Amino acid sequence: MAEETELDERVDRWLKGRIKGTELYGLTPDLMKSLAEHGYMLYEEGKYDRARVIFEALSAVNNADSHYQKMLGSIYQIQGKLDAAYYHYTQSLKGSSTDINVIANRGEVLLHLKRPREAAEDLKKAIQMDPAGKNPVGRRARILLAGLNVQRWAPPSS
Amino acid sequence: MKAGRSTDGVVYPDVGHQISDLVSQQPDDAQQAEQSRAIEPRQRIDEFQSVVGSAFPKLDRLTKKGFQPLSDLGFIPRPPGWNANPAIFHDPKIGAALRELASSLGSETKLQELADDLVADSQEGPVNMQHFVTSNFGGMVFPAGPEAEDDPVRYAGERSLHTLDELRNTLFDARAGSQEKSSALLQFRAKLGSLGTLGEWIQNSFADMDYLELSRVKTPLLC
Repeated sequence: MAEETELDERVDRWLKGRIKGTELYGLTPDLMKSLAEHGYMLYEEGKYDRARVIFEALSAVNNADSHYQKMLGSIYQIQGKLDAAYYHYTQSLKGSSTDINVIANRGEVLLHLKRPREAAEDLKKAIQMDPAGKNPVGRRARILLAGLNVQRWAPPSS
Repeated sequence: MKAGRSTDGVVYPDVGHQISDLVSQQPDDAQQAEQSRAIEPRQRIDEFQSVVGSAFPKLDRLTKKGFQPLSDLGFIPRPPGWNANPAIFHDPKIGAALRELASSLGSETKLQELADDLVADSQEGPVNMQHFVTSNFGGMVFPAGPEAEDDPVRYAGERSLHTLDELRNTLFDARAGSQEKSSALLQFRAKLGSLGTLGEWIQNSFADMDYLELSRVKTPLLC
């Protein structure tokens, strides 16, 4: 009962803008990091829906963390929600603009969204970040860009 | 050894002469050396490659030779500093914090009631994706809205980049338009739903763990 009263008080303070969402639910930085690590483990195991639950909740209280945003972008891309993936990748790049994985993945998303010019910009940027072709994501970007160029010169389908 | 009847009544054949014959027929050293040479493994010739080579086109053979791996679709590597083997439900400190979080997420009904009240008062309008992204987003905004089969709250939750704090500010902002407020409310409900699902998931995970622990204690040892 006392806990509920305390929670109600916190809600009131939050509604008045005195505390943040993280304080409202007691989401400390350590707890959020632990949840994110667990979410990544689920993601690695291919349990995308469960991982999504974690990252959606974390980004509901903190949209400035580029890691949460890129994880959501990746999950939505894998699940075929391409516009949602694009929004989260773009938001992630606001926090870390040189993440080659996010740039190449966003390029691929744009390719599927029929935005070849914007896709080519991202893919070129990813290739420039991996000039020696040592990074698997850089190699993927090379192949996607090559495919894009082939499509450009291909005769129009009847 | 001569054939004879043993005490249990079984007749065994006399094989003594065969043993002595085998001993007398042992090969000499030269013969033995020749035999050991004969069983030496031959130099292996890979006949498979030539067959494969003739069957595949030149491009395929080139790509198969030293072709380096590509990343998987949409893959994001683990961010640096993130623990590869987290055990959040087993760590006493984090476990306690998680139970507290699940409890507050589960018992918090005031915001949900507020959202329900606001829904009753609001007028539904078409979804404007511009309201889903932050003010300094800096990217494209796709005009598509939810399809008929999509759950609008789910759709909003997947695309919204706002936090609960930002949505609260919009909902209580006197300058915000009705369409903006309606959009903020949709996202607000989606965010509350996400947090509620997280709370349920944590509670269920702990319930599963407690059940397993209880059954382990109750089950007698079989060995």
